[in-house]
Amino acid sequence: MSKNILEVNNLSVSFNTSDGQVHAVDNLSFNIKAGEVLGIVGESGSGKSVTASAIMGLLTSGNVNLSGSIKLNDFEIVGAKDSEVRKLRGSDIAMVFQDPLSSLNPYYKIGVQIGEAYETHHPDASKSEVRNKVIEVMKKVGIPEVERRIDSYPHEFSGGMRQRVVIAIALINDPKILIADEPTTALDVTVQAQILDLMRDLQKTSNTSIILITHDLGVVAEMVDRVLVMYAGRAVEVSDIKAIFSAPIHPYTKGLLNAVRSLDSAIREKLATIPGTPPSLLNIPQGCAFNPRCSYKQWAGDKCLVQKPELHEIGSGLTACHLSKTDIERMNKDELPVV
Amino acid sequence: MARFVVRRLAFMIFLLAIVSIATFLLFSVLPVDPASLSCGQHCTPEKIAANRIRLGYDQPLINQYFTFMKGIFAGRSYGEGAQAFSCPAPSFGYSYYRGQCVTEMITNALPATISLTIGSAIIWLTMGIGLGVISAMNKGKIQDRVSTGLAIFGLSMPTFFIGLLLIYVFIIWLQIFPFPSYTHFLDNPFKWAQALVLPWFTVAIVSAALYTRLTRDGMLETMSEDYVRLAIAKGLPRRKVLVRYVLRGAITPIVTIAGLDIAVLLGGAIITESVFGLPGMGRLALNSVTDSDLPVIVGITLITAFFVVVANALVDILYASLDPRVRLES
Amino acid sequence: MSEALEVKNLFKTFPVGKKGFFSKPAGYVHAVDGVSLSIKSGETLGIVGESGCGKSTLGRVMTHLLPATDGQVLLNGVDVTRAKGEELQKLRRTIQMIFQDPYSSLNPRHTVGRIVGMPLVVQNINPAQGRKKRVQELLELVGLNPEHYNRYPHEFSGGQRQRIGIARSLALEPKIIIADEPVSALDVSIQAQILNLLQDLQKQLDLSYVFIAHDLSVVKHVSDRVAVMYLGKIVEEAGSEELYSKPMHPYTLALLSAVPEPNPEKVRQRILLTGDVPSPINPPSGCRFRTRCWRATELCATTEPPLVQISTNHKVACHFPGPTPLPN
Repeated sequence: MSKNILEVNNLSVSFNTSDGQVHAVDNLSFNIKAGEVLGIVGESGSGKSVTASAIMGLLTSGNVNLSGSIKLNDFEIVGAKDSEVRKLRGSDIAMVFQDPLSSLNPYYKIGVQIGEAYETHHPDASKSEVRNKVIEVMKKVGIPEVERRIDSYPHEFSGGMRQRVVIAIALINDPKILIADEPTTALDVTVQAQILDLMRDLQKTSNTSIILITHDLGVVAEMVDRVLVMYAGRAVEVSDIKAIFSAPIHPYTKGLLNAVRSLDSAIREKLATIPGTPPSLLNIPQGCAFNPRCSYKQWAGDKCLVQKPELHEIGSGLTACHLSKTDIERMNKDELPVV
Repeated sequence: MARFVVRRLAFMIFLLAIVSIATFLLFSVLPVDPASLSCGQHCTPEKIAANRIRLGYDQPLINQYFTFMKGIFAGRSYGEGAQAFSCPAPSFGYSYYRGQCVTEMITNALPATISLTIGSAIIWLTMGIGLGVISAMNKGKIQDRVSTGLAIFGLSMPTFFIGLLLIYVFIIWLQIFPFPSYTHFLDNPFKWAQALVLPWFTVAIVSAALYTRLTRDGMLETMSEDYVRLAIAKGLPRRKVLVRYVLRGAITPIVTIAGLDIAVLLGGAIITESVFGLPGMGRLALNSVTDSDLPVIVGITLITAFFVVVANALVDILYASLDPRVRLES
Repeated sequence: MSEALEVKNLFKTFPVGKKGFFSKPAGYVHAVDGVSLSIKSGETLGIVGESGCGKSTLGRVMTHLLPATDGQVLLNGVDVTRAKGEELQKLRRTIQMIFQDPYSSLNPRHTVGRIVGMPLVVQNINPAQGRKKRVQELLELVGLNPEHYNRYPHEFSGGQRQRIGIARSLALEPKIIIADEPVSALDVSIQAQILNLLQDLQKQLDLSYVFIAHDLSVVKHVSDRVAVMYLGKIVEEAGSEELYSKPMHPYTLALLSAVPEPNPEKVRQRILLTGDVPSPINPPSGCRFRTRCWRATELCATTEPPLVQISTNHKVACHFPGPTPLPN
């Protein structure tokens, strides 16, 4: 594949709140190549959505501490002027949010809302040029009866159609990167299938890179090339999609995979669980943040309780875990430490 | 949309009928006898009885109501023979105390009140919404605290105090304005404005607080909406996001309250008008109450109710044109 | 096994578009449209469908949180929908509900002890060991620390809050629990914990569940029998084994194929339904699924297919039932 289109290095984000400092993202590094689909997987509070906001250059308010580097084609987003980043937003980087019901402004026609995204970045475009562009992109995302629906209001659309509108807004300027933050979580299963299908098709034809943020490993398996698993603000595993499902190299990933429901399971089969709950970001455990919930920490000794594991290579992937390669292999053979 | 408007207007007429009946009933049970009030100083029981017949108070209540309602549409005449006189439509009755048709008294008082209302509404909306926007955009910062502080100061000051304070500062101390004497707009627009500036600000300072609060909270709420996030993600300039998205979302509840506030004010700003000696509805109401001039009180009550009901209907219609979702549900 | 709960020809409609005080509504949402079901004691019935199919309304009518428009909900032979006063109060002890959102279904101003003990107070029940002791037992039963009796909901995570909701629903020792999407608002690693807890409690307390969900994969992990709903009607009902191995209704096939598979190597032929679920105010004539169905013919537009028994453990409402998933 070609060169990196986005490079994130040592990104840290924390928020000052009345309860103390919330460490939302901690020393995160990853990159994405042109045309690649990267999945960022994590539960609530893992820092995945904050990472997206950082890439969009949206973390500008006074209570945010931001450090590290986010480079889009050699343009440094961290610390850049808002007026500079604004030129990228909606043109080079576009975003699709979770809830299509609330993502559209109820007061304006959808044609206006899609067109606005084009006009902002093409101030010289004529009215008819904008309208043609809007019609083209609406057709592209599969909205029927475009000529009529261009003048409809959001509330006249179903959830699935609204998400198509949001995708149309994101695609109208042919972005280099599309960040989709849980794009199908709020949708019904049959509509989710339609939207995932649409995104796959669009990605194939346009060579846009996609960052798919989700908690659903099922969606990830269908869409992405590579997965970044986040836990409590840190990357814990980065692996190719096939590798992660066949042989995960972090106990958290292993736990998530076990907890995923599948139609292949037996009737009333019990699910494996990860004990405990994700930590509060105000109070992240010492050492490895996952250690209170980890079933394998005995293999690595006391290290997990005191030392933050850094991301390092095991096989083809990266893991932030103190377990040795052999221990990881034992984990994948479903062995457990004797306690 | 047209059907919505028609239905809304029909409901408005229905409501007005109810209000007129209620008002009429209420005043008929008051322990005040309009016949003896209209009789003057040298009163005899005979005179009172004659007055009662002349004014129609001898009739059953329901007849009185219909005569009154008929007067609104067709005018009404009083007395017989040489003493007869009439109040042309729309007639809200006759004030024996003043010897004037109520409608005439109200039409004389309205221009001052309308001038006061419109002027102050413009000021308080600009001031209230403006401070609200500043507050919302600088949430938690010094600008926010100052705006909120100013708003609360305005809200907590009694109207007469602000009025007297402005008179003292601008008329007596700094002598920027002459002591106000109301002049009709058509006679001398400059003097008209000169007399009204201080009353405008008096009403505005008291009223703006609520709008600052509503704008601030409405905007902060809208700012956390997903569609605002998407607007930012589109790369829209901050100002455009603020006006087209945030303010637009926050403005609808303000329209409702503003409509009703303006309507109530059109019924007379009693204190402000009294402090500045404006010959408006408020002063008329106050005088009528002190004089127990019943026909005038009934007339003013009905007119005020009319303003409120009409404003309500207008607000609903305006709402429907502001929010496409309301149109669908109609 | 005996029938714990029987639903007979149940209807629930909501008026929409009422224009004024005196005018008639413009239409009705047919949320539940002639549903019949039965749940045996100790069994879990899964009800699956997409938003707007009426599954949540069905659950609420069953627990009498909403009045039925027509039909019966029989609990030990007594009709819940007609019950009033004291009788209803008693019936409510037998059937309880767990809600989807663990954030909005707990009063933030009440302590956990008060929330879980509230049903006892409302029903005026005084357990021998005292209410507090009973509440602490319940907390322990659902895997919470009984010492957290005096804490407030905001001190708990989503999963723990859902446990509080479950403890509350168990306070009156019900026989039947209606769980409306009990895990869909939770993090993945927590969903499995709650599903397993529900399974354990069922065994321990001999409960019957009605498990409402939009996702056939969740339901597979908990249900003995599954009913698939579309626009207010049951389109297919079968034992789980049967339904997942031999689905007959095209909608069931589509739902199954839409479930994302956590297996990147697996190549599947997916049935992509076109369009969205039609409005339940004006459902299509004949078979309601026909507007999105690849098997639909003239017949489907004119005649509504009844829910018929095709084998001992399998009912389907389709003119052209069959397991072949592929659209021709």
